[in-house]
Amino acid sequence: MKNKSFLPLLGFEWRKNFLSPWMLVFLALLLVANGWKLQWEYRKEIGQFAPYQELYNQFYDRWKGPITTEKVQELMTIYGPLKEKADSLSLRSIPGSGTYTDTESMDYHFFHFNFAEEMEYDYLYHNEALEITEKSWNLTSFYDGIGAAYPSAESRAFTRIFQGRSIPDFADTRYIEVLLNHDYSAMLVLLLCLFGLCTMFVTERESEMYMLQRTSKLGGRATVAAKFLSSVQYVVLVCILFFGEDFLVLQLLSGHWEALSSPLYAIQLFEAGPLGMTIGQFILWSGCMKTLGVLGCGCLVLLLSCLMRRVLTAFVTGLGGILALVVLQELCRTRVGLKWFNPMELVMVREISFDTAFVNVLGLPVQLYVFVLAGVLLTMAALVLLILHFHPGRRERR
Amino acid sequence: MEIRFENLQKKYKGKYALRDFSATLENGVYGLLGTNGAGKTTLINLFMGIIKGDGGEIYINGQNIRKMGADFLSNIGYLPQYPQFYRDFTVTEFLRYMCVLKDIPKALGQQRIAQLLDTVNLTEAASKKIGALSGGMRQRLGIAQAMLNDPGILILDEPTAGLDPRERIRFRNLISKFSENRIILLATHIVPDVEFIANQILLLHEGNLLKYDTPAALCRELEGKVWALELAEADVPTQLIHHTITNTAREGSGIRLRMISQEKPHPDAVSVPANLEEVFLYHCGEESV
Repeated sequence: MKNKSFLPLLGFEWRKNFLSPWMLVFLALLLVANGWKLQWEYRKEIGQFAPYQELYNQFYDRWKGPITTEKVQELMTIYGPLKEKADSLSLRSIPGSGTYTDTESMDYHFFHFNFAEEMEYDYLYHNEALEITEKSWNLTSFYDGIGAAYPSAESRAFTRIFQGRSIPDFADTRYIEVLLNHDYSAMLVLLLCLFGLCTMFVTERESEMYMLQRTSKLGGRATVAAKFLSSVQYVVLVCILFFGEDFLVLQLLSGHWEALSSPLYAIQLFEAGPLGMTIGQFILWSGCMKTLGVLGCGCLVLLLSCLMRRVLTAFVTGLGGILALVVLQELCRTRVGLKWFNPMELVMVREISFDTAFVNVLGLPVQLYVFVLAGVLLTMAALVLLILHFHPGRRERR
Repeated sequence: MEIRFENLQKKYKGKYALRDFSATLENGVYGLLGTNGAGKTTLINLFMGIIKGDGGEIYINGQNIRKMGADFLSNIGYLPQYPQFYRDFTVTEFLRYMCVLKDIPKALGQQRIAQLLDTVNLTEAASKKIGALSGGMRQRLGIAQAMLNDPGILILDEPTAGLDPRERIRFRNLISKFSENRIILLATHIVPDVEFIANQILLLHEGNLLKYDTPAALCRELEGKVWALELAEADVPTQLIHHTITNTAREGSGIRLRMISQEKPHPDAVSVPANLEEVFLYHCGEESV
């Protein structure tokens, strides 16, 4: 089959499944809904400090970047006396002169939550990482001494991961935390995946077109290939639109870019995580993982589309399947063994990136997220094979 | 063009849907006649490769179709039963899609689409959505898509089911138009569909090929077995209901009957030439209708 035939076939699959007016309108509406939710979540994160954004920017511009002694002293000049008053419960909550915000109490909270707490975490992280490195190194020696190969290998891995970690720069990570905790877009992407993919094979059966496909030269493997490729293109495009919107909206609301080059563990949620990449790299990486997870869920929806005879039943079973994966992901938070085949684990990839956890694979410590990634890829391969076996356009071998 | 079927078999749960089917087809229109469940669609599905047989071979121009691969489909046009197509596609869009599916080059496809829309009288409906077409228009679209690759073999499965008489006549005329230099196999249980256009009839019953001959020859076989009788309604003897009555018409206060019987059923009965419907009823074992 030539490319000349395949591209039009691909175009027709898009035409059949994704380019209806109502689908485009639905997509646009969901993008608007996602954008609104993002800004709502960001304002909720900023909370009581929203009226003081200009003040925040003023001090942020002074103290962002490398944490130096001068910056710390400048912060402590303002924050130190406020902390003493807070400790002695003598902060005033009524408006007064000589404050940056409206009250001394608000001043304290403003500098504490926006600057002092973060800078202290950044500054002291190196010591914590050093402590973990030393402990794991000692454990390695201990396990080597008693001949426990796997625990020794695991401890060695811990040492490698935490060795040399530090957070030299202070950056605004508030919007990053909103971004990484924002699951609404993933839910919308899954919904669009369901709507778009559940009709892929079942409409051929419902319209009896599968009979014409089975009896046409390019109605077999070529059509299935076009369906797969168009499905992948659709899912990737929807993911780029929504996950890209997540990043852009929050970036525009924040106005600060420095956090993208900070290490991931600069976000306290990932303090004990295994990934040493920058926040910017993690945003890209988690976007890819989430897309892969959605593709995995998409494979399940495609398989159900092959097996069902009506669009409605394909939709309902697809919805049920996705919900089952969500519930399974929630139930298996601590059961590592059941995580490996569930694509939802990749959609919620931050949850397998919080902690450094290993799985024993033939005596070797494999990081949990690697284990889950490999398992989901295997699951997807199995689903694809099942689809190839059950799709309605397949011809019986004579 | 020649199709040769040799001892085709197909079983479903131990019961034969098609048994020892053998026939040779050359250019012309063939009516595949039989009741529901006779094996017509099974035969077509076996030929098209939609299902796998339990025995027998099929040859096209002496070549076994098992060895022809996907190229086999390049020379076949097929219209399945109850086609719905894609309701949101326009007529032209759908035909373009079928051209892609049949791997017809773009320029040739555009030419064929224009020609066929004209032939099946759908040019004015070219930009109409398929969902807005009538049943007859959809069937004409069906035959147009089957003809896109100018096939040597055209298979039509119950193409006139659900059509009104005017559309059925229109469809028959289209078949005749397309019948030159190709084999057309028309599966139907509606006898008039094939009565006037088929060169040969293959009569199937319970998976067996009962008869394979021209319509005229099949009708001649029933010479002396079809009778016409006109009686007053009150004079109709009850024993007549044991014969296969093929037509009952009221004429004023009387009744005109046609029936199939080995012997003269009534002193006033007159032997008349059989029609294909009566041949169908005779062989398919209807006791009384």
